[in-house]
Amino acid sequence: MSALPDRDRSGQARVDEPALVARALAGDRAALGMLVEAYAGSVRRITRAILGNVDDAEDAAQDGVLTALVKLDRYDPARPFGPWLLRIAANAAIDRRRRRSVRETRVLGDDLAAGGPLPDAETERLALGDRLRAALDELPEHYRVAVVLFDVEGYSHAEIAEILGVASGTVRSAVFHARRKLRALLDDLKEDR
Amino acid sequence: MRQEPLWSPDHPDAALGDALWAALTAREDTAEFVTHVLARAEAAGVGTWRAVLGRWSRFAIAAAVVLAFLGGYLAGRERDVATSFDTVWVTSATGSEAAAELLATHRAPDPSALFASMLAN
Repeated sequence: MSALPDRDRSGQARVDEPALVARALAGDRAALGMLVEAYAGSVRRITRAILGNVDDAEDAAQDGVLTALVKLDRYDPARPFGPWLLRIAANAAIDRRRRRSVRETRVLGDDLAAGGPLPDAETERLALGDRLRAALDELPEHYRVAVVLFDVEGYSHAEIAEILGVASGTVRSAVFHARRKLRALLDDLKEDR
Repeated sequence: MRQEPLWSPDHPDAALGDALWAALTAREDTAEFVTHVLARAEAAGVGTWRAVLGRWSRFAIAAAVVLAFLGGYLAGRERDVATSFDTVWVTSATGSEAAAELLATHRAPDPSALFASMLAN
Protein backbone atom coordinates (compact mmCIF):
# COMPACT_ATOMS: atom_id res chain seq x y z
CA MET A 1 0.00 0.00 0.00
CA SER A 2 1.34 3.38 -0.89
CA ALA A 3 0.80 5.92 1.83
CA LEU A 4 0.90 8.68 -0.72
CA PRO A 5 -1.41 8.10 -3.63
CA ASP A 6 -1.08 11.65 -4.95
CA ARG A 7 2.58 12.42 -4.34
CA ASP A 8 5.71 10.41 -3.72
CA ARG A 9 7.81 10.83 -0.58
CA SER A 10 10.05 13.36 -2.29
CA GLY A 11 7.05 15.61 -2.65
CA GLN A 12 6.99 15.42 -6.44
CA ALA A 13 3.58 15.73 -8.00
CA ARG A 14 2.87 13.10 -10.64
CA VAL A 15 0.98 15.29 -13.05
CA ASP A 16 2.10 18.28 -15.13
CA GLU A 17 0.13 20.78 -13.09
CA PRO A 18 0.73 24.04 -15.01
CA ALA A 19 -0.28 22.32 -18.27
CA LEU A 20 -3.40 20.89 -16.64
CA VAL A 21 -4.31 24.28 -15.18
CA ALA A 22 -3.85 25.93 -18.59
CA ARG A 23 -6.10 23.31 -20.20
CA ALA A 24 -8.68 23.69 -17.44
CA LEU A 25 -8.68 27.46 -17.89
CA ALA A 26 -9.24 26.96 -21.61
CA GLY A 27 -12.42 25.04 -20.79
CA ASP A 28 -11.08 21.45 -20.84
CA ARG A 29 -13.31 19.67 -18.31
CA ALA A 30 -11.23 16.49 -18.38
CA ALA A 31 -8.21 18.50 -17.21
CA LEU A 32 -10.34 20.04 -14.46
CA GLY A 33 -11.36 16.54 -13.36
CA MET A 34 -7.76 15.32 -13.36
CA LEU A 35 -6.68 18.22 -11.18
CA VAL A 36 -9.45 17.56 -8.67
CA GLU A 37 -8.81 13.82 -8.66
CA ALA A 38 -5.04 14.24 -8.18
CA TYR A 39 -5.53 16.27 -5.00
CA ALA A 40 -8.81 14.88 -3.68
CA GLY A 41 -7.06 12.57 -1.20
CA SER A 42 -4.71 15.21 0.22
CA VAL A 43 -7.45 17.82 0.49
CA ARG A 44 -9.81 15.43 2.27
CA ARG A 45 -7.13 14.28 4.73
CA ILE A 46 -6.21 17.87 5.60
CA THR A 47 -9.81 18.95 6.13
CA ARG A 48 -10.42 15.82 8.17
CA ALA A 49 -7.35 16.52 10.32
CA ILE A 50 -8.61 20.03 10.94
CA LEU A 51 -12.28 19.28 11.49
CA GLY A 52 -12.40 15.73 12.84
CA ASN A 53 -16.00 15.27 11.81
CA VAL A 54 -16.19 13.36 8.52
CA ASP A 55 -19.26 15.12 7.11
CA ASP A 56 -17.93 18.58 7.94
CA ALA A 57 -14.55 17.63 6.49
CA GLU A 58 -16.15 16.41 3.27
CA ASP A 59 -18.12 19.64 2.89
CA ALA A 60 -15.04 21.74 3.65
CA ALA A 61 -12.98 19.74 1.13
CA GLN A 62 -15.58 20.36 -1.57
CA ASP A 63 -15.84 24.06 -0.65
CA GLY A 64 -12.07 24.44 -0.67
CA VAL A 65 -11.56 22.77 -4.04
CA LEU A 66 -14.46 24.72 -5.54
CA THR A 67 -13.03 28.02 -4.27
CA ALA A 68 -9.68 27.12 -5.81
CA LEU A 69 -11.30 26.27 -9.15
CA VAL A 70 -13.19 29.56 -9.19
CA LYS A 71 -9.89 31.39 -8.53
CA LEU A 72 -7.87 29.20 -10.90
CA ASP A 73 -6.90 32.12 -13.14
CA ARG A 74 -5.08 33.65 -10.15
CA TYR A 75 -2.81 30.60 -9.71
CA ASP A 76 0.82 31.34 -10.60
CA PRO A 77 2.03 28.47 -12.83
CA ALA A 78 5.63 29.19 -11.81
CA ARG A 79 4.81 27.86 -8.33
CA PRO A 80 3.70 24.37 -7.27
CA PHE A 81 -0.04 23.82 -7.45
CA GLY A 82 -0.37 21.61 -4.33
CA PRO A 83 0.53 24.15 -1.66
CA TRP A 84 -1.68 26.76 -3.35
CA LEU A 85 -4.67 24.42 -3.38
CA LEU A 86 -4.07 23.01 0.11
CA ARG A 87 -3.79 26.49 1.57
CA ILE A 88 -7.24 27.35 0.20
CA ALA A 89 -8.67 24.02 1.38
CA ALA A 90 -7.12 24.37 4.85
CA ASN A 91 -8.55 27.88 5.15
CA ALA A 92 -11.99 26.58 4.17
CA ALA A 93 -11.75 23.95 6.91
CA ILE A 94 -10.46 26.42 9.50
CA ASP A 95 -13.31 28.83 8.69
CA ARG A 96 -15.82 26.02 9.04
CA ARG A 97 -14.29 24.94 12.35
CA ARG A 98 -14.53 28.47 13.69
CA ARG A 99 -18.15 28.77 12.63
CA ARG A 100 -18.85 25.36 14.18
CA SER A 101 -17.15 26.38 17.46
CA VAL A 102 -19.38 29.42 17.71
CA ARG A 103 -22.43 27.26 16.93
CA GLU A 104 -21.44 24.56 19.45
CA THR A 105 -20.70 27.10 22.17
CA ARG A 106 -24.13 28.57 21.65
CA VAL A 107 -25.84 25.16 21.65
CA LEU A 108 -23.91 23.99 24.74
CA GLY A 109 -24.77 27.20 26.51
CA ASP A 110 -28.44 26.68 25.69
CA ASP A 111 -28.28 23.07 26.95
CA LEU A 112 -26.68 24.14 30.21
CA ALA A 113 -29.23 26.83 30.69
CA ALA A 114 -31.98 24.32 30.03
CA GLY A 115 -30.36 21.63 32.21
CA GLY A 116 -29.94 19.34 29.18
CA PRO A 117 -27.63 16.28 29.03
CA LEU A 118 -23.86 16.80 28.69
CA PRO A 119 -22.06 14.91 25.90
CA ASP A 120 -20.44 11.70 27.14
CA ALA A 121 -16.93 11.53 25.66
CA GLU A 122 -15.80 8.40 27.53
CA THR A 123 -18.34 5.86 26.35
CA GLU A 124 -16.63 3.88 23.66
CA ARG A 125 -13.35 2.12 23.22
CA LEU A 126 -11.52 3.61 20.33
CA ALA A 127 -9.74 1.76 17.55
CA LEU A 128 -6.34 2.98 16.38
CA GLY A 129 -7.78 5.32 13.78
CA ASP A 130 -10.24 6.76 16.25
CA ARG A 131 -7.51 7.18 18.89
CA LEU A 132 -5.24 8.89 16.42
CA ARG A 133 -7.98 11.22 15.24
CA ALA A 134 -8.87 11.99 18.83
CA ALA A 135 -5.21 12.68 19.63
CA LEU A 136 -4.94 14.86 16.57
CA ASP A 137 -8.00 16.77 17.64
CA GLU A 138 -6.30 17.68 20.90
CA LEU A 139 -3.36 19.26 19.14
CA PRO A 140 -3.30 22.92 18.18
CA GLU A 141 -4.61 23.45 14.66
CA HIS A 142 -1.28 24.25 13.00
CA TYR A 143 0.40 21.23 14.69
CA ARG A 144 -2.24 18.98 13.13
CA VAL A 145 -1.94 20.42 9.67
CA ALA A 146 1.86 20.52 9.85
CA VAL A 147 2.30 16.89 10.90
CA VAL A 148 -0.18 15.60 8.31
CA LEU A 149 1.37 17.65 5.50
CA PHE A 150 4.90 16.56 6.51
CA ASP A 151 4.51 12.91 7.47
CA VAL A 152 1.53 11.94 5.32
CA GLU A 153 1.61 14.19 2.27
CA GLY A 154 5.40 14.57 2.04
CA TYR A 155 5.62 18.37 1.82
CA SER A 156 8.78 20.14 2.98
CA HIS A 157 8.92 22.51 5.95
CA ALA A 158 9.20 25.45 3.53
CA GLU A 159 6.13 24.38 1.54
CA ILE A 160 4.11 23.86 4.72
CA ALA A 161 5.24 27.26 5.95
CA GLU A 162 3.84 28.73 2.74
CA ILE A 163 0.56 26.85 3.14
CA LEU A 164 0.11 27.90 6.77
CA GLY A 165 1.55 31.40 6.34
CA VAL A 166 4.06 30.91 9.18
CA ALA A 167 7.86 30.69 9.48
CA SER A 168 9.64 27.49 8.52
CA GLY A 169 11.00 27.16 12.06
CA THR A 170 7.46 27.27 13.43
CA VAL A 171 6.54 24.36 11.16
CA ARG A 172 9.55 22.33 12.27
CA SER A 173 8.64 22.91 15.91
CA ALA A 174 4.97 22.07 15.27
CA VAL A 175 5.89 18.80 13.54
CA PHE A 176 8.23 17.90 16.40
CA HIS A 177 5.64 18.45 19.14
CA ALA A 178 2.83 16.80 17.20
CA ARG A 179 4.99 13.76 16.45
CA ARG A 180 6.04 13.40 20.06
CA LYS A 181 2.44 13.21 21.20
CA LEU A 182 1.20 10.97 18.38
CA ARG A 183 4.26 8.70 18.55
CA ALA A 184 3.73 8.19 22.28
CA LEU A 185 0.17 7.10 21.54
CA LEU A 186 1.31 4.67 18.85
CA ASP A 187 3.98 3.19 21.13
CA ASP A 188 1.50 2.78 23.99
CA LEU A 189 -0.83 0.92 21.68
CA LYS A 190 2.02 -1.33 20.56
CA GLU A 191 2.91 -2.14 24.17
CA ASP A 192 -0.73 -2.88 25.00
CA ARG A 193 -0.83 -5.60 22.33
CA MET B 1 10.45 0.19 26.17
CA ARG B 2 10.88 2.45 23.16
CA GLN B 3 13.90 1.30 21.22
CA GLU B 4 13.02 2.80 17.86
CA PRO B 5 15.40 5.55 16.82
CA LEU B 6 14.16 9.07 17.23
CA TRP B 7 12.75 10.31 13.95
CA SER B 8 14.67 12.78 11.90
CA PRO B 9 13.06 16.20 11.91
CA ASP B 10 14.00 16.56 8.24
CA HIS B 11 12.39 13.37 6.95
CA PRO B 12 8.86 12.03 7.13
CA ASP B 13 8.19 9.43 9.82
CA ALA B 14 6.96 6.54 7.68
CA ALA B 15 5.25 4.58 10.49
CA LEU B 16 3.39 7.60 11.82
CA GLY B 17 2.63 8.76 8.28
CA ASP B 18 1.08 5.39 7.37
CA ALA B 19 -0.99 5.33 10.57
CA LEU B 20 -2.26 8.87 10.00
CA TRP B 21 -2.94 8.14 6.34
CA ALA B 22 -5.11 5.17 7.34
CA ALA B 23 -6.87 7.20 10.02
CA LEU B 24 -7.60 10.18 7.79
CA THR B 25 -8.19 8.75 4.34
CA ALA B 26 -11.85 8.93 3.48
CA ARG B 27 -13.64 5.65 2.91
CA GLU B 28 -15.96 7.43 0.52
CA ASP B 29 -15.39 7.08 -3.19
CA THR B 30 -12.98 9.58 -4.76
CA ALA B 31 -14.92 9.47 -8.04
CA GLU B 32 -18.04 10.58 -6.21
CA PHE B 33 -16.16 13.46 -4.62
CA VAL B 34 -14.78 14.54 -8.00
CA THR B 35 -18.25 14.32 -9.58
CA HIS B 36 -19.76 16.49 -6.83
CA VAL B 37 -17.03 19.11 -7.07
CA LEU B 38 -17.22 19.27 -10.87
CA ALA B 39 -21.00 19.60 -10.77
CA ARG B 40 -20.71 22.50 -8.32
CA ALA B 41 -17.92 24.01 -10.40
CA GLU B 42 -20.07 23.85 -13.52
CA ALA B 43 -22.96 25.47 -11.66
CA ALA B 44 -20.53 28.23 -10.64
CA GLY B 45 -19.51 28.69 -14.28
CA VAL B 46 -15.97 27.30 -13.93
CA GLY B 47 -14.53 26.07 -17.24
CA THR B 48 -17.63 27.00 -19.23
CA TRP B 49 -17.33 28.82 -22.56
CA ARG B 50 -18.79 31.92 -20.89
CA ALA B 51 -16.01 31.94 -18.29
CA VAL B 52 -13.37 31.41 -20.97
CA LEU B 53 -14.91 34.14 -23.13
CA GLY B 54 -15.18 36.47 -20.15
CA ARG B 55 -11.51 36.02 -19.35
CA TRP B 56 -10.52 36.64 -22.99
CA SER B 57 -12.84 39.67 -23.09
CA ARG B 58 -10.94 41.18 -20.18
CA PHE B 59 -7.65 40.62 -22.02
CA ALA B 60 -9.15 42.05 -25.23
CA ILE B 61 -10.43 45.19 -23.50
CA ALA B 62 -7.06 45.76 -21.81
CA ALA B 63 -5.24 45.24 -25.12
CA ALA B 64 -7.63 47.62 -26.93
CA VAL B 65 -7.02 50.34 -24.34
CA VAL B 66 -3.25 49.95 -24.65
CA LEU B 67 -3.48 49.99 -28.47
CA ALA B 68 -5.68 53.09 -28.40
CA PHE B 69 -3.15 54.97 -26.28
CA LEU B 70 -0.28 53.78 -28.45
CA GLY B 71 -2.14 54.71 -31.65
CA GLY B 72 -2.95 58.15 -30.31
CA TYR B 73 0.65 58.74 -29.32
CA LEU B 74 1.99 57.63 -32.72
CA ALA B 75 -0.60 59.70 -34.63
CA GLY B 76 0.39 62.79 -32.63
CA ARG B 77 4.05 62.24 -33.43
CA GLU B 78 3.26 61.75 -37.13
CA ARG B 79 1.32 65.02 -37.25
CA ASP B 80 4.21 66.91 -35.66
CA VAL B 81 6.62 65.48 -38.24
CA ALA B 82 4.19 66.32 -41.10
CA THR B 83 3.82 69.89 -39.85
CA SER B 84 7.53 70.52 -39.83
CA PHE B 85 7.85 68.97 -43.31
CA ASP B 86 5.03 71.27 -44.59
CA THR B 87 6.73 74.28 -43.08
CA VAL B 88 9.99 73.49 -44.82
CA TRP B 89 8.25 72.82 -48.13
CA VAL B 90 6.18 76.07 -48.10
CA THR B 91 9.22 78.09 -47.02
CA SER B 92 11.33 76.72 -49.85
CA ALA B 93 8.54 77.16 -52.42
CA THR B 94 7.57 80.74 -51.50
CA GLY B 95 10.77 81.93 -49.94
CA SER B 96 8.70 83.34 -47.09
CA GLU B 97 8.74 82.03 -43.54
CA ALA B 98 5.63 84.08 -42.82
CA ALA B 99 3.76 82.23 -45.58
CA ALA B 100 4.91 78.91 -44.17
CA GLU B 101 3.72 79.95 -40.74
CA LEU B 102 0.36 80.89 -42.25
CA LEU B 103 -0.18 77.84 -44.45
CA ALA B 104 1.43 75.03 -42.55
CA THR B 105 0.06 75.71 -39.08
CA HIS B 106 -2.96 73.85 -37.68
CA ARG B 107 -3.84 76.78 -35.46
CA ALA B 108 -5.93 79.81 -36.43
CA PRO B 109 -3.72 82.37 -38.22
CA ASP B 110 -2.01 84.91 -36.02
CA PRO B 111 -3.00 88.44 -37.24
CA SER B 112 0.62 89.62 -37.10
CA ALA B 113 1.66 86.71 -39.38
CA LEU B 114 -1.21 87.61 -41.73
CA PHE B 115 -0.07 91.25 -41.94
CA ALA B 116 3.54 90.22 -42.36
CA SER B 117 2.56 87.98 -45.23
CA MET B 118 0.56 90.78 -46.90
CA LEU B 119 3.43 93.25 -46.46
CA ALA B 120 5.91 90.74 -47.89
CA ASN B 121 3.81 90.44 -51.03
